[in-house]
Amino acid sequence: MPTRPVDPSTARAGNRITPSGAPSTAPFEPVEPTPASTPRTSALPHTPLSSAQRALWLLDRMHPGSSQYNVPLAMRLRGPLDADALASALTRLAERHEILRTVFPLHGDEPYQRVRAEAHVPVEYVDLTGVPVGERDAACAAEIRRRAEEPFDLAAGPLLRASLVRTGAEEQVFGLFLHHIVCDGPSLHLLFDELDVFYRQAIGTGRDGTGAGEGGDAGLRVPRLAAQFADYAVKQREWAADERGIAWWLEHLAGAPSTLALPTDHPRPAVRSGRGATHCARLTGALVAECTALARRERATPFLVMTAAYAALLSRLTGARDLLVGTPVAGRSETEYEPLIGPFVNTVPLRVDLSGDPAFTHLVRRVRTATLQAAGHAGIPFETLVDRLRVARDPAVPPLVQAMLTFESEPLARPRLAGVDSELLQLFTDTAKFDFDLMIVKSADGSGDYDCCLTYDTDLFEAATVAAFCERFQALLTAVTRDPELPLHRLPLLTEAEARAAATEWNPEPAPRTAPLPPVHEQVAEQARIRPTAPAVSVTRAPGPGGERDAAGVEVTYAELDRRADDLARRLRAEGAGPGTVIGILLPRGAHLVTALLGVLKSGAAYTPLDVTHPAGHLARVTELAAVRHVLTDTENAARLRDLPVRPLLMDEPDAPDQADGADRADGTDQVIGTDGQAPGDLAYAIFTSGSTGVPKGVAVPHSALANHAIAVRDRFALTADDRVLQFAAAAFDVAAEEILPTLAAGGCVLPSPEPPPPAAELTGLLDAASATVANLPASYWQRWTAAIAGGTATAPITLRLLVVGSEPVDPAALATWSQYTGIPVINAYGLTETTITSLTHTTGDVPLGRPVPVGTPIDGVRAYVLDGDLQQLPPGATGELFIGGAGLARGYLGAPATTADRFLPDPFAPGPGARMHRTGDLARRHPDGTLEVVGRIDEQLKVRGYRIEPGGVEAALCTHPDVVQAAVTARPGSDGTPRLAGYVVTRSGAVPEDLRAHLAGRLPVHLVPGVLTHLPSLPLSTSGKVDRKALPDPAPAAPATTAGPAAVPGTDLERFLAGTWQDVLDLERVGIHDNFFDLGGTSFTLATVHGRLSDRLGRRLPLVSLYEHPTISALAGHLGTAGQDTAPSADRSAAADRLAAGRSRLGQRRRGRT
Amino acid sequence: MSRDSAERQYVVVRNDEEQYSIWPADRTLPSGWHAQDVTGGKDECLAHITRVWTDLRPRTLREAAGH
Repeated sequence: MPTRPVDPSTARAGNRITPSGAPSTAPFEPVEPTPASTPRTSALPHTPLSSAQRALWLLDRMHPGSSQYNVPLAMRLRGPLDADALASALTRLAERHEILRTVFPLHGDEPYQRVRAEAHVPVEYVDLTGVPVGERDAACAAEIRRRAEEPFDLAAGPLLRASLVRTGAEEQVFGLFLHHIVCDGPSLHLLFDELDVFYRQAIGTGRDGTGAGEGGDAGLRVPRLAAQFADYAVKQREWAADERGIAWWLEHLAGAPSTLALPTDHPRPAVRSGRGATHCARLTGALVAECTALARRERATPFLVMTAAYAALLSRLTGARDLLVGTPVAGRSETEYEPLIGPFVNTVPLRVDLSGDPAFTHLVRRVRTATLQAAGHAGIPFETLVDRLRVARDPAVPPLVQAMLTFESEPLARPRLAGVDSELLQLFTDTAKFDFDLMIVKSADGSGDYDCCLTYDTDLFEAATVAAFCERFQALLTAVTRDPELPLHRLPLLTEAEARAAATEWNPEPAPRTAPLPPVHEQVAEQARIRPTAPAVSVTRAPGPGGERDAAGVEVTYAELDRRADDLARRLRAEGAGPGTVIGILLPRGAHLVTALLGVLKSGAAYTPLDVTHPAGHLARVTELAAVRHVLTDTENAARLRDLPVRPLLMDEPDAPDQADGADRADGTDQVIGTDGQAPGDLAYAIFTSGSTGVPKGVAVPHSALANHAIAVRDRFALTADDRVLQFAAAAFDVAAEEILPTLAAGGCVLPSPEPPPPAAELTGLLDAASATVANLPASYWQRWTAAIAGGTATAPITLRLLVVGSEPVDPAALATWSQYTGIPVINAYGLTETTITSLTHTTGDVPLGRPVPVGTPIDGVRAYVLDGDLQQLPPGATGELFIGGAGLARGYLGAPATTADRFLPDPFAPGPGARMHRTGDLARRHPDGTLEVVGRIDEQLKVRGYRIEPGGVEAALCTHPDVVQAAVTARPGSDGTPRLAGYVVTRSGAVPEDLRAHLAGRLPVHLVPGVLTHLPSLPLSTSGKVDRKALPDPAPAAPATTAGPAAVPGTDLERFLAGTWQDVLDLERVGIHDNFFDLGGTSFTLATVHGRLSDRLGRRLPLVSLYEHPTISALAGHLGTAGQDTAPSADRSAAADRLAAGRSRLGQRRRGRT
Repeated sequence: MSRDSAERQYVVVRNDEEQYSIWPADRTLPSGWHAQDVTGGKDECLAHITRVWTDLRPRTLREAAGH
């Protein structure tokens, strides 16, 4: 068995701090000094449990048969061991410490501490010497593990048991197994020390050989006990009722966040399982010595320096500037408790203020002040704080504190026995009581180094993430010992490997070019020279209802397209077009549009596409902002320009190209038009997007950006001359340029969609008729198409080889359906007009439901960064704002220097000087492999009850329900005016599915389950076709409490208990048994409170999801009545019956209490 | 995401292409960017940029067009 340091979660001794630099032996003092002579209370008939014991007892009730709170110890003993002496030493221990023979039976509703007279500790002897040598270690490990995982019966005991496994003539493994309800970290030191003393007495190696017990020879002496743990438990009841101390805490923690949004690898499950693992790293003795020196200079302790560093790291990773770090305090607040075994340790939340970018030394001073203040009130039990702070009971999150820190400047307890060589073996660390639980402890190997062990929730984190966290922590400590004045934002965050990846793999430098890329219209002209007769544009109508093809389909060859574009360019130049001018384009999809784009670019001017559907007022604003004097249009749309100060140039008049011929022909310039006088910095187009204020913003894109985009996208999509690419987007969207230009740069054929594009269900017909190989669709349209294919109203396309989706988040469920029905690869594309259409792409594979589909990696020449609020790069996993730099950047916003300066910032990470990067407003995170994931918009991030919520994540979970087609989530004020989460669904059934809430409850933490769900026939869309969350209607108001008719009055005890609880948590006068909890204004939070009380009163674990499934009192009572017996382990029938009886008696009492 | 944005101080910066932007005043300037003589709140800095940055074209392009 490999040796590992002790499980930090159970072995911690508790931190001790003093204002002076040196660690002190003075423990935290409780608020109320206790009298010197404490009366013995353990002889009382029904001694109460301490609050920590009661919390453990309740957990044991909720998870019967669990070994989560077992404390297993195993040691290899080499040498002549006297097994009988060891057994008798154990019994002496239990005789001396009443807690080791205490059990926790019920008296009425409440457990109490009963000290058994019998002190004998059962030792199980196992002889493995008959097992072949090669298999012995494994057999021994299995034996110890079996015993370690055996549950304890808290009511019957014993709560200390032992195994002695013989593995050789003079070699054995000694296993000692306790329940956490009887011990803590310092207990283990005492236990090992006293075991050695009693063992030596038993084997008679004491000098007097009499086994004097208390007193006597120093080596064989154990201190006299003036109290027992039960005395402390009684005393603690007084501290728990210390209202002055509680008031201090309530004030100190007012407004403190009760959750720390650590960047997790996996979504938080609805109910935490408590499964954990521990990662151990080393901190060199030299580094810790530097920290100690730093601490001395700041009149602090190494613990405070470690806390400041830990908080700084958590703050940088989460963006939180106010957070709580939990720390265990020894709790042995009286001299008489110091020699006692027992669960004394208390958790104290330290509130750390990281606002204002403090220097590290400043932060240490803040932590010192906060810790000293907290130390004055450390006697208040953690459980009391959680209760009194009314922390929402969320079974997904450890209450109040999610990150713990323990610092130990002495090695953890090691076993020793006279005459034998003992070595502590592996301990089982498969539980996590917190998300992150960091223990820094001096290594027992004598090297002077420290072990840095992080126990973590394995539901949330991967081992590699935790290892990286430890590496970051070490790097941060190293940095602050070198320069303690570093401000928070400059503390290093990336590991060395990440810093290397950030400089190379995340944003690879494109291969150097010998010459600048030719502008995109030159790239197309080159294809016209290579393949003059190949089709460049092909307009095919979809088969009509009768299946007949439109004979009027049009095909334009490369030579023809190039000639038309040249003609148009000449005509435009004659009108004064050239670099610096902007030509409007108001055309539907079709061959004219393609000609118009190329013609304008060839003329040297830039184009501005106008939307045929936009109102005249919008067109007027746009043409004015872009200083448009000429607009290319057709006879059908020219009328829209009537009142504008622009000259329409018609593309569809048969002799149109000749209109301006006179001037050109006179010059005899009917050859290919040149690009003289054009520069890569000249504008190629200006595209207007609707800004958040509704005022259109004109994004000006230079040729250099568009040329890079055409080549990079051609390469990413692997476009060739064989490709036939659908032109689906309206010209006013830049995606149209992405469909047209890279295709033509590759020699492929553009297939303009009819105007308007067909309904999604008819797209297959269009694609098949045109033999399309590539299509680029908005995600919502594609999702409708996918639904049609899966529903049988459309067939899978035949010739399509690649589907590109983008513009909106892609639903992983739709992706799975698409793959199943078509098998056609999908690229998820991400980009902004400001960064020239697509900047990032991801070739999708399997995506777990409920997770966003990644947006991938930057295309050639483009750079992407995830930055925190201080513009520092974040490591993989952490969420920050996405910034895009590199070759795709727009020049800026037309006529808007301030907006340009605000959104295009200096790029400190670019290889060259003077570069800029665009602030996208999107929240993103990087996967460990460098792939990026967009999780939402900064301005759409919702804040509900202090939680930051990405509506997209909740929408994705809603969409995992088979009936839900589309979903939207926003925050709307509830009846009390505070925001709550509102969900909207479009469903196949036409109503909110009854089990939708239960479905979500199984997938999302409580705080992410919408309090109200509303069905809509369709979601409101903005002009760009995206879901418009602001236009969602107010959710239906909560129904008022029904007047309880005879049938609605609670009848049974259980119904009355439930009704009482509901009235209490919902603050209602009365509730009917058929009322829906959520209709009455209940939320997931209040439901969790009901769940807590119900589990508490029933004394057994109840799946939270069953409360969602039975949202009325009558349904829930009925469910509990039938399901009650089944939830208890079958082997424990009588105990289950006891529990039910106990639950019933409590219900009875509750009822009496209320009437 | 932006920390203490209300009271944060910025400096107006310009690169060699005479493109303007803003940068937190207490931070080292990225290479190739030069602090202008204007420091203050974000709105103040952006108002200054509106006054001085009248031609968004990069300097080299502007100069080439001028010849």
